[in-house]
Amino acid sequence: MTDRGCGTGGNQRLDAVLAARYLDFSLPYRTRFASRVPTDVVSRLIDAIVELVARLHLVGFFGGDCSLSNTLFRRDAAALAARLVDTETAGQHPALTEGQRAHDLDLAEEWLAGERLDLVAARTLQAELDPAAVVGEVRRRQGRLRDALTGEEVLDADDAYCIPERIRRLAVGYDVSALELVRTGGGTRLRMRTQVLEPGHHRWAQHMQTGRDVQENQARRLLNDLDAHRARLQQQTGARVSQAVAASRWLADVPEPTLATVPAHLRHTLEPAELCHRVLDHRWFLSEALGAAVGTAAPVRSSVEVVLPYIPDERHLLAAAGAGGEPLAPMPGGPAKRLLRRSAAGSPPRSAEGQRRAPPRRACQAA
Amino acid sequence: MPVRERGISCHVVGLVTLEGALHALKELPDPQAEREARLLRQLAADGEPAMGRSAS
Repeated sequence: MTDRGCGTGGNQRLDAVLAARYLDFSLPYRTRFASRVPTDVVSRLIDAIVELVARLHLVGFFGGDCSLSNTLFRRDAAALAARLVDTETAGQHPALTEGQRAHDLDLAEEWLAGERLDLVAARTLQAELDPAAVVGEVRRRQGRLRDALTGEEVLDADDAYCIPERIRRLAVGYDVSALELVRTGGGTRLRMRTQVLEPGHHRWAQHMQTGRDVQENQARRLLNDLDAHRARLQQQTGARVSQAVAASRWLADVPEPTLATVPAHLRHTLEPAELCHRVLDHRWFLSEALGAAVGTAAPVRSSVEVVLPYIPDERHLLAAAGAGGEPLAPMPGGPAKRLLRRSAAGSPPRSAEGQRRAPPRRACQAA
Repeated sequence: MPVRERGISCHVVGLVTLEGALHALKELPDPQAEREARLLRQLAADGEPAMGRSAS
């Protein structure tokens, strides 16, 4: 269409136009911070780039020149969300090697340091902020994020109950897309692959796999249990178990016997998914107290004794409140605490009931 | 159709309003345009944080 050049003396033929829909509310940093970049924003810009690069690397995408100029920024509560807009130098691979990742980070650091120098020269950034400090900072933050997302752990076969805790440590907005236990000479290796989730992902995935329509956080919890169940099945059979088979087995092994075992007068106090979630919570407490996996049958029986009777009947709660019924009673710790101590004889809980860590609920309630 | 040039790209980027929506236009050699469009489409289809639907 035109003969405008690109570093070739102005004689390069340009014969195509790439058109892309511009994203509402997304702005280049030069527009978003036209007059002056606040000092605290610099750190958030870098965080956004680090997050962007981490996401791209997880799916085998080499950016080539991830930088402020090749990124649009959109407000995301207190943070900034970065989006890649230029893929001239990018490449898609099945997976990135360590060398490719390191090279991409080198390029990002160089670009960011240069752009920081530009900002200082243009007096839009305070001069006392050392542009060179960004070099190394990107890699440090990227390393921390990546460790949290992709760390592999060597577990003994008996330590599989730790899987929910490992999943719990994932950063906000991420979840496990693949979880497998691989037998090695030195033990069993837990391998996790992480993906970034869109809002409502868990709810949709749970519905697709099990036909159950549940709330997002319930779905997240149940899907995590399904993943862990699949890993256990693969370990037991020594063969790959498909997601569909795993979902079917999980339904038959966990929620269905749980709901069948709970007496009718307790089963109707909570929605089925919430009831399963409470039993899974209780199972996790029991597993942690015993330092071993406890299966499903024992936690269900125990929940019927010491957990579910103390949960207010939510189906009738509003009606009861309207009729001047009793206020919500706090969850009792006493019976569960006694049971844990009894069950864990010889292997006491690591800390007092009230000080125990929260059960392995996904850490993105506010996502 | 008014096109505003923005940014410091190797290939100049223009912004234009098409059917009520803002679009970014970039001139570049054919093979490069096709490659970039393919990558952007793939990232968008995978739900990754890249510029949305694109066409060359």
